[in-house]
Amino acid sequence: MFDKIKQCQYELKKGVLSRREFIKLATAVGLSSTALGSLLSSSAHAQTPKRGGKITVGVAASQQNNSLDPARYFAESDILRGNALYDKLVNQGPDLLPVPHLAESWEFNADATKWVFKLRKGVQFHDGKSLTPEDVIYSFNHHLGEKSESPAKAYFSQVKELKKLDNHTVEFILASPNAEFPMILADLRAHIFPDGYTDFTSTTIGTGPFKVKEFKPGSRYVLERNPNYWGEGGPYVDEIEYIGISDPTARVNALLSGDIDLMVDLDPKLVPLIERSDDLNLIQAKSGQHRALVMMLDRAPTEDKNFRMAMKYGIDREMILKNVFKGFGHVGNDHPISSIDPYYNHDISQREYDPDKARFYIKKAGLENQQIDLYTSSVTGAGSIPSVEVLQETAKAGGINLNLNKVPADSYWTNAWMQKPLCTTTWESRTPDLMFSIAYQSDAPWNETVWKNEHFDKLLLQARSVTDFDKRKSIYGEMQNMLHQDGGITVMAFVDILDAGNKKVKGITPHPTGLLGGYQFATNVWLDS
Amino acid sequence: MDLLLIVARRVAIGVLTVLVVSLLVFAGTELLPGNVAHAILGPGATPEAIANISARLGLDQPAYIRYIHWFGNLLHGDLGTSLTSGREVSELIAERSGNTFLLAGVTALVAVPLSVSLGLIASTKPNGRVDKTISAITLTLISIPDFLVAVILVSIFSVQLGWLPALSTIRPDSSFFELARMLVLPVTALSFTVIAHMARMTRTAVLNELTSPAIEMAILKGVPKSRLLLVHALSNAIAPIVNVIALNLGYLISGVVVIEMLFNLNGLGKLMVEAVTTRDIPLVQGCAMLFCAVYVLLNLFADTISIVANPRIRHPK
Repeated sequence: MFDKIKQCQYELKKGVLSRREFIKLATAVGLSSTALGSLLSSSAHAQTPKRGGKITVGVAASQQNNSLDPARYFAESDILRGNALYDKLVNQGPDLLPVPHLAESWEFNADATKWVFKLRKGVQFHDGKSLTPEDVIYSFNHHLGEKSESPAKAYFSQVKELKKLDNHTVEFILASPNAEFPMILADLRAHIFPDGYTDFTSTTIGTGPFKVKEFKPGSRYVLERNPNYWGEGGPYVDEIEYIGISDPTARVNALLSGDIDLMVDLDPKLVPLIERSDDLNLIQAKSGQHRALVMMLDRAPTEDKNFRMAMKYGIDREMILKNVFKGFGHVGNDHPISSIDPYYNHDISQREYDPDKARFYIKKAGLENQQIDLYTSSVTGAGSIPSVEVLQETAKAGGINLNLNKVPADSYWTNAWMQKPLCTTTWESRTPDLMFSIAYQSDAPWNETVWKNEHFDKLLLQARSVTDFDKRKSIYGEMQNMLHQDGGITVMAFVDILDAGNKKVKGITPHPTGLLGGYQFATNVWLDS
Repeated sequence: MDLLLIVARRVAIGVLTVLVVSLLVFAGTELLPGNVAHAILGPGATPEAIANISARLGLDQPAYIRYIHWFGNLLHGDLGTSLTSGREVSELIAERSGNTFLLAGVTALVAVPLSVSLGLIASTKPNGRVDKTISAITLTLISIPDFLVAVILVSIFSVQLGWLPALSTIRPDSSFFELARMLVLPVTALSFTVIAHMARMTRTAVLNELTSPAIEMAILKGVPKSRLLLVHALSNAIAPIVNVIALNLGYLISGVVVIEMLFNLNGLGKLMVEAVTTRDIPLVQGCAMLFCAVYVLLNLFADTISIVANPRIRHPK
């Protein structure tokens, strides 16, 4: 526990952690208020957030398809802006568990099919209108309509009916039980906008800490402070401007020269540049986002379990982590759940690189030294291509002869992914329920490994109706074990989220679910002059 | 009358070129792998979402129908609607072209006089020390790719020295001074690539003229050297020089993709790159047609100047 506090204190000092968040974390680990006071004053009493100033953020892309419509978020910068403009009913905390936000509290019935959310009072939209259950109902129906292009439709559609109970209460009736339903409301697209609102082309209305000042896709994105924000404390800065800089080196150069104050998606190779500078800070968060190898279970050669085992023993996870990601990440254990997840199964022993075992299995598969095609592309995440290059070398020692095919970014998702038996993929950090539902359930839309297992599907449904955390954890643990043993996925690495900023930018708490504090930096960020 | 006829013929050829290019552009964009629905949704594509997007964008129709439709609209100036943003392509192009024309214009203002002067200086004493130095420098500059020049300039002047901004993000409220500071690095990087071409062409054209019998006659008449060079030689060498300037101007408007990306200058090149990566076909086609039109117009202009400047074409025997 002491280590944790020391870490927090260090982060507070560095300005990575805001004072409020420090108190929250410290009380969470059970520190008394007097001890807390002394810790805080020893860190820096000058760390009271200051009002004012303008922050420029260098994001990865600015394109014509950037959108303010939650159903059409495409780039990370869309999510980043969305989180500044809108609020969700529920947020995901740094411990990956749900935190009340626009919903003050919630209750559910015994089988977790009916969820009643109490809305916070006194919340106003940017146009002065008060938040009502109608707004919530409208915002979700926006994704659920027949013509909806929203990728969230796949998991929002578990909501069968939305009902207004009174002026501050809304009920979600689900098609089937889901004990983790609040996490669905913490989805990055679950933003709330006013009833009847349709025009997202150049502006929008939300309840968030910032309002749209200018939104011109591809050229200019400026948000201004919402003075009537319902939350305590922030927002502190007057304006946030987002600039899309697609070239990663140009982005770092812009930060080094002071043209921008914050940047997202730092290449691990460029971390030394940040560390060498006196003015810059690295913003690092452990995360469940992963780069992985997909082995499709319905076609040769990956349908053969022996081949999959050979691959699972032929990959040197530590070496990939060290050489490609410079240690900014952690290894996986052949299933998509990260060791930082509260539901991670610590009882499965870590699979290690073992060329002898790899050779044993590849021989059994009858494919020793035979050329096998592996498809990859830069769109499956930074580090994907170098990772499979390392894999190619380490697998060779186990008698696996991989032939790498690099597919152009613009055709990978159409021509290689879910077409070729052996290819790379990338996933954001998600809860076990969401991860399994969208990519491992038999009829999941993105079941890339073609994992079809009745027992697994049954466990997934069962876990949703179990409201006890420990019981649910043991079910998810069993599912992780099934994938670990037989599944078609090998996680090459869980990758840290790396951003960077000027030291005068403070109040950003690293968060495992996304860049710049889980996309939520806008509320608490402030500028120290 | 003859002159008009010649110009009219050039215009007709220009129109034909545009027509052929429109076919090529359309065919080229058809050949691009992947489709816009996938590009929009990325790995988040569900078959249902893809079908919905394809139907909304009219991608379910055959290619030739879409071409006829597109070209028909093009004829009365309608470039269509951007697939990804839903805005008019012409509006997007108008929004971005200002920045590109600004960059191209400033670069031309710097590079054209500079390169013509360098070419003239070099031609005064061919193979002399000055000529060789100018040749060496301009050749070196043209041999280094513009993105490398840009990266080196940024790391020296923005990152190390901190004198100039690394980004040329032009904002509506940018002051003249800010604008000037922002343009220094991209203009320098671009000038490096175009100066060599124009300077060498000027030198060759002028030298060529200097060996002509007319100049020999002038020398014998005792015309002073500066007048000889500026009036007699340069005025006759104007056609090839204008041609190479027109070519370089065309490049400055349509080919500065890399520089615009590196300096984050929101111009047409960057617009086209964004359009290609998101498979926003009408936008790609719109940009390509504009670039084609710019080249055709500039060449037409250069040709007309050569015709006007050349008495042999003006008064054919």
